[in-house]
Amino acid sequence: MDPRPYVIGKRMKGVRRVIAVAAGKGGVGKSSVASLLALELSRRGYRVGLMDLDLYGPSDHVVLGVREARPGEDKGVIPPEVSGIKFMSIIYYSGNMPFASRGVGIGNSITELLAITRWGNLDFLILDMPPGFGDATLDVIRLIPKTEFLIVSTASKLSTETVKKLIGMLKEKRVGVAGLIENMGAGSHVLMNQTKALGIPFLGSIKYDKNFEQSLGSEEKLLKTSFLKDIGGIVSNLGMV
Amino acid sequence: MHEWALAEAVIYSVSGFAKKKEMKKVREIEIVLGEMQNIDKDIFRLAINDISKMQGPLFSIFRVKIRSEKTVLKCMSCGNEWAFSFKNSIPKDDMEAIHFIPEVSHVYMKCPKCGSRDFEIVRGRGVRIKSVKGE
Repeated sequence: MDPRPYVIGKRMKGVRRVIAVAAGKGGVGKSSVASLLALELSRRGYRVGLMDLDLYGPSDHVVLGVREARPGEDKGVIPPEVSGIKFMSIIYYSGNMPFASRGVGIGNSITELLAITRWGNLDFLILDMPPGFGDATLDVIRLIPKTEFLIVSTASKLSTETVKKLIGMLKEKRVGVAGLIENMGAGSHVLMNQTKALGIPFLGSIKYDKNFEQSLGSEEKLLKTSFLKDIGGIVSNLGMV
Repeated sequence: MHEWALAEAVIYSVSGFAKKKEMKKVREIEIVLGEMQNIDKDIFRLAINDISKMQGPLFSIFRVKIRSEKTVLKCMSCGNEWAFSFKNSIPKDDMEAIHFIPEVSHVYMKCPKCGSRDFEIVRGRGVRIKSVKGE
């Protein structure tokens, strides 16, 4: 018997809302949305945790500029605070080396991270999910039943076609979907209309921000981006304020 | 004290199992510790005892058997099987990382025969409950 899943409910007991930022495909800006959502919530005075579960391509630490931070230990692992966010990532253990693991290893790593990390009391735990609906997504649904999914997509058919599948799977498993965010928006209402047709709340659009790339890794610069301003509007639509 | 977190997992899972089986008393827990996770047995045993005391009469008198399990790895590229050992010159920091997340061994280790990082942990990964006895 694997004992680890039994303690995960206890680890999540002090967490009011668990929000998994997910997408059907890679490259739509999931990690940027997850990191800046955490940053915006923290800025508003909420107690926030951020866990990067994209084990093949962790990048929240790049967005937030995490350099020297390391977890502490006290009856488990205590995530360090970065920009007011309790931040957990596989990079503390894998460094900048590639983590080449098959699915069973990904599932085991996620279970281990969830079992040993002590978040304490949080208003929000943001999970940055890998793209698609593989091991990580299935494990989060199984191990943290109160998770709500927040889906990120661009208006491109290449993304929306996979989003439909992701939403179908979440509905079938009766998993909560908080809504969909459009990233790299160009002012069209196409995605908004498609989202409404799927019966999912459309939470807002983040306009393409040409200065965003230069702001990566600097909290000061990120706070001045139009990306963060758009996230602010979305936070209000999520019923978080 | 990462051992404490895993000991909590053991006690909660045994507690859940005992309830399901309608046990009033747990008498024995047999735990297997995979060598790869390099759990400190004494700290782990102490944590099991301390945490069980907080759980009420279910764990009033019980025995904990802890057995170590050798770690065996199998290369998915060439099929080579080999025994893992911390004595195999793994730097201390890498050992510490594997202690927390055994799967990061893929970052720090390769198949000794073909050099591939694509291997599986056949056995001896981490904490496992082998049996629970009670009444």
